[in-house]
Amino acid sequence: MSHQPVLRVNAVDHAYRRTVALRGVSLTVGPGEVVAVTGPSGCGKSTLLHAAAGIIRPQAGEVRLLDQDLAALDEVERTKLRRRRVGMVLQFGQLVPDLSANENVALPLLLDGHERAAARTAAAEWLDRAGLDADHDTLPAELSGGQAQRVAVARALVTGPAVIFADEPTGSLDTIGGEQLLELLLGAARDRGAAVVLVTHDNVVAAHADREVRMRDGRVEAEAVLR
Amino acid sequence: MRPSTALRLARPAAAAERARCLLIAGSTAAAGALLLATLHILRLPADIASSSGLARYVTESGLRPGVAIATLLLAVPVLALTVQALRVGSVARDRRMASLRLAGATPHDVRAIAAAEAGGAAAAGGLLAAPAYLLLWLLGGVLPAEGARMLDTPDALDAVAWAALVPLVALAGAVAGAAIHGRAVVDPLGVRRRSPPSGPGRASLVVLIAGVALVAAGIVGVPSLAGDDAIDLGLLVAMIGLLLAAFAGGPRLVLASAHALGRRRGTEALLASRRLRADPRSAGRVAGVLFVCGVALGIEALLVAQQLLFDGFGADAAFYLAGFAMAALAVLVAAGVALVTLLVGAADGLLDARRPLASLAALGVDEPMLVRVLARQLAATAVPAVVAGALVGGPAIAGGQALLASTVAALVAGLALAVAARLAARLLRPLIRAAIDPENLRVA
Repeated sequence: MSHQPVLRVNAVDHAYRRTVALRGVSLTVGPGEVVAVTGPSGCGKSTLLHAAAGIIRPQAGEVRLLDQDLAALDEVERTKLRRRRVGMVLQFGQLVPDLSANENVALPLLLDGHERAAARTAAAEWLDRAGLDADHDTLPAELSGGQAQRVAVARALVTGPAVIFADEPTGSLDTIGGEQLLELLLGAARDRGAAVVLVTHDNVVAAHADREVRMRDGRVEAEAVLR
Repeated sequence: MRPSTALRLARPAAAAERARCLLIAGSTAAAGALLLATLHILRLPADIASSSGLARYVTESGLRPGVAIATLLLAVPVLALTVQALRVGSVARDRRMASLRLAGATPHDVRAIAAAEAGGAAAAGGLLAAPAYLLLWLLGGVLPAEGARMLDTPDALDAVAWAALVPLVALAGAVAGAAIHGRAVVDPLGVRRRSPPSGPGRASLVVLIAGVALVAAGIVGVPSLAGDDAIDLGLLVAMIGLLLAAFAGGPRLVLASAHALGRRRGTEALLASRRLRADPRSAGRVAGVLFVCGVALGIEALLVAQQLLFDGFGADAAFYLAGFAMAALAVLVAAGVALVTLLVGAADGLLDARRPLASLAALGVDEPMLVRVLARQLAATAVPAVVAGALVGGPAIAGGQALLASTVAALVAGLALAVAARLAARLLRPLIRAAIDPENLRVA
């Protein structure tokens, strides 16, 4: 396995109109490493995750994801990089409402031009691994919060990503459901050697990480190695 | 992305999406049928005999262009309904598109899906334009008595025009669909951090001024030129100018109306004003259509008054009365379609604003008050537009002497639309009730 960092964020600034969200933030994540980004509401942790994943373009600084300078990539290239090598899990799953659980998981493969049958088979395998105890043809609206998040995790893993970005993935779940989801996400990521950047305000969730990066007012306040 | 994936993702799955596609297809079919009818009327031979069974409005070459323009104008409110249908459920669809972007769809993929979705519905509408045209012919060319028919028997050239119409309509639908969802293409989180729709800009002011200039040129400039066709050409130029001015000025009229409403006392006026100011464009399109209806009504009121007071109907009473009745019916149909468009937009707004409305209810705003807010919002869009149109229409043709007839027309139309706005708000009461359900406070 290469020891090159999968993610290198260097002196990044970003603001939404007059609200400064990031002030000179730097972060490095190694292969297979699980990093928890913590801090109070509005401290800039989600913005950092979105900048690291190439969803937003920071106004200053550099982001290198999987050895690619994101500033040098256009929107389509950044989307394709995310689709093929990055997994995303957000607080409410962000599943496509009119597609079944299986189709939601197969979507990144279908968008990448894979055969429908092969994509659906791969999706079914990942839904089984994610332990979805509902029909794979169920629509998101008919799933519980925990089931929907399991589908989102399966979708994030189906392409075999090198890095997974998770923004409050357990935020909409109860304690037990959250714990189970975290075990699923981090277990699957560690099995595959994928790095995980986990944004959370919950110290119990952060305790599962290898390292914690604590933010406040758009800056990195402290870092701690947890294991 | 394979085409099969794009088509699968473009297929309407939810009942609301299927209803939206039906509305797009239905309104496109109606507009297409009106366009085919216009083309047929324009193609009629100049010397067509009155023994053809057609009405004098169509057989007399001097009146025919007016009938053709009126038929074409009827397509305008129908097309405004199509645009409104394209925008129905925008918030939910933007959220869906953002989810697709998050799952790995590129901006191009998302545009292709939106284009396939709207283009498919529009193509279905184009195909349905043929049966809709046959229905129109049945109503206007078969059922009326000999000598009162407005439409001739369809022929092979109608089929050719229809064959050309279908791909054009599908293409227009696809382009409109892709353009309307351009905002969500920007970023996968765009739904949460999108900028609110802006008000009318400088470009619309330029279009407004150009429209007014064209109206002036059509009424005064072109008819002064030599030639028999100068009046027809002037009419066409004035109509194009009127449409441009009405659609560019519609959002401004709505904003002015919202500002006036906002200066009144009371929470209802404030809430109605804020809702209009948040998105003046949708309401502005309807205001544009109603302004044109008002202009037509003002002109008709002037003509009726002139005929009654000065000329008398004489031996041609039936001819004049039928003409006025048909013009009034056309205005009524156009205003009715505009009101349906307004209603569709208001219903869509209620569905999109469930959480803020539930919050208002939690703060103590009750259902009857929200019904009154909606009634004010609808009235503030419709009434000033039709009143302004009626007050402008007559005097634009005959100056100050048309003021009395136009004022009467404006009062009657304004009153009718104020009542219609109240009825429409009551019709939407079940949606308001559903919107203020406390359960909506839990929606993310």
